Amino acid sequence: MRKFVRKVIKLVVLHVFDSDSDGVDDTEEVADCDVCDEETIRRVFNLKCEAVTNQAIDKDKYILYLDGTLNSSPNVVVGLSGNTVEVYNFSNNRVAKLQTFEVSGDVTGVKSSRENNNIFYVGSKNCCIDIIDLRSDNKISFKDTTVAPEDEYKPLNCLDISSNNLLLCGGTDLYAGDAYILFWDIRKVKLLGAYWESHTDDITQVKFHPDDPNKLISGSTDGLINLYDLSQSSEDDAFIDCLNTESSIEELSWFREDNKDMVACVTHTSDLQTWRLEDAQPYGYFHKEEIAKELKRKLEDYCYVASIQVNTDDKLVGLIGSNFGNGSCLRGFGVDKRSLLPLFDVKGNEQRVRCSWLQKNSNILIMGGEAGSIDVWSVETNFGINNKRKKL
Amino acid sequence: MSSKVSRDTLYECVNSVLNHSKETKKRKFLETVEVQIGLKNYDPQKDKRFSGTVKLKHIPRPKMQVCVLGDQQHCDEAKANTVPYMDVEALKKLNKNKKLVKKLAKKYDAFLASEALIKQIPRLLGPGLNKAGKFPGLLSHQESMTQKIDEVKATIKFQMKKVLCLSVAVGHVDMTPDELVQNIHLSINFLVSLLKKHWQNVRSLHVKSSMGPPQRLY
Repeated sequence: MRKFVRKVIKLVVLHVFDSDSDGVDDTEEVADCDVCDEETIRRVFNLKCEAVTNQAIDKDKYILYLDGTLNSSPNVVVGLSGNTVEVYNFSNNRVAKLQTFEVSGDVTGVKSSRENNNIFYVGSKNCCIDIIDLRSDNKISFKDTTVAPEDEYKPLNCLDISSNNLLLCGGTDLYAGDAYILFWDIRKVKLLGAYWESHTDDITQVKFHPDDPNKLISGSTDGLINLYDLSQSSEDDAFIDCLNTESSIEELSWFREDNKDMVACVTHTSDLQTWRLEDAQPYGYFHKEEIAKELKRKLEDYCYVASIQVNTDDKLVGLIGSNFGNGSCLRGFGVDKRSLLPLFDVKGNEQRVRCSWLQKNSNILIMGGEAGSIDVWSVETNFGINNKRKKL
Repeated sequence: MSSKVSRDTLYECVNSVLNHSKETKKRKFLETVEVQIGLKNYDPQKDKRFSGTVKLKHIPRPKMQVCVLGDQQHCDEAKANTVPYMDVEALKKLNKNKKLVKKLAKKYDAFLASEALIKQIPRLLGPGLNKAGKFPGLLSHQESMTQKIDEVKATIKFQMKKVLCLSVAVGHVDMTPDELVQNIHLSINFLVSLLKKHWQNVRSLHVKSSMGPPQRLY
């Protein structure tokens, strides 16, 4: 038996040598590229997308989280891999650094206040959400007060703020068998309570409804999107609906279609699903293969959904690209019913994009990614009746 | 064929796993066959999570019990196919009782539900099935029930937690070498396709049975 095993190992080693001597492996030999010429790309992705400016932050760090304020010269909060957060101001087509902050753990999310352009919320892994106030050095944090500070913490993954700016919500990894959704009162800086019965695995997203402060969705690696009515007193009653994606959830977003609330979901396998809340299955299901086709790329294996956004019409806009090389291929799509509409080509992009923020009113798109650079683009994201596209 | 692992290597490893389990040291239970994948150049703090589901060609867990939460038509169909089922009245009787829902969740490995029922589950059962990781998948009237059940049984979940390795069950030792090779091949190709740098992120690949020694594929 042992002899046999040794033979196998020898064979494996030989094989590895074989393929190594070929240089690279098949999948890497074939470079990913567009399946059509530049002219066609220009014609298909014909909406505006112009580079405005960019700012290199740290090439050794990834920019993983972005959010901005709603005013015309927005402040943008940037979360980097590690425990650094920076705040920038964007005005007159330039970005200028305002402040750098170090938080106590790895950053897992950033949010700007819905009421005050100087206030930001930074979530870190050690279950602590810090308030950054550009006007003062006062340190205020939201903590999980159910455990002593030196105890182990529930690893925080994501956070969101309700539309009325009263509730702060965070989702955690599985901790001692439970994955928690924690709620804090923003004004009183106080933990209000938690849900821990509705997911079986790490909670990766919590998203309040854009207008209704009582509606919240949560997404998890268990593949479920849960809908809660926070006006109810217990988790049992608050849990009102569940959408089973049968996958693992990376990103969630609310959007609207035909005057109805809908939910979009990006999975960890780079599929995009859209759901009507009354349905039992996805309304739109864009598999990687289809995404690659719409992206006009040769190899679906490299395709990734970088980020999803909502435009001024509350419609869904997806940023989709190819991981190949430095990740230069990145394109914008509108999601219209069950189809992806090509919008714009981010020509000249130089990084794999990991997060984005769309200043809806000015159509300024700010992106961050794996080259540690903030890229600002001026884009056209509206599609539909006013911008009815010609059938090609 | 995944180019870094040849067909011959795959067959040899599978055969030696089966050999060990069936002849060298036979166990008193049906051993599972799993694929273990070690990663490199992957930073869990920076890189995207490695998590999802994939449907295999051959059912890795034949003993899995799937219960249908059905409307009238699905209940009749389940009855005819001797598939365990419950109708809406039976669910109402549980009355959101945590203990009863927990008991139900424990009894089966997975659930499928008709469209009419699936939307009522939060109201009828509360979050109990979610907590158990068994919220039902959708069973529509357009697809065959037995086929859908087989699909559920053939779907595996993989997820990397804090450590740079993960393992997925892809079969058992009573499967033929061909079946195992096909499942392993499919899983490897799928997992590798999800990695940002594909094979450059793979440190090692092993295949092993529950109690047997690991065989290195890559």
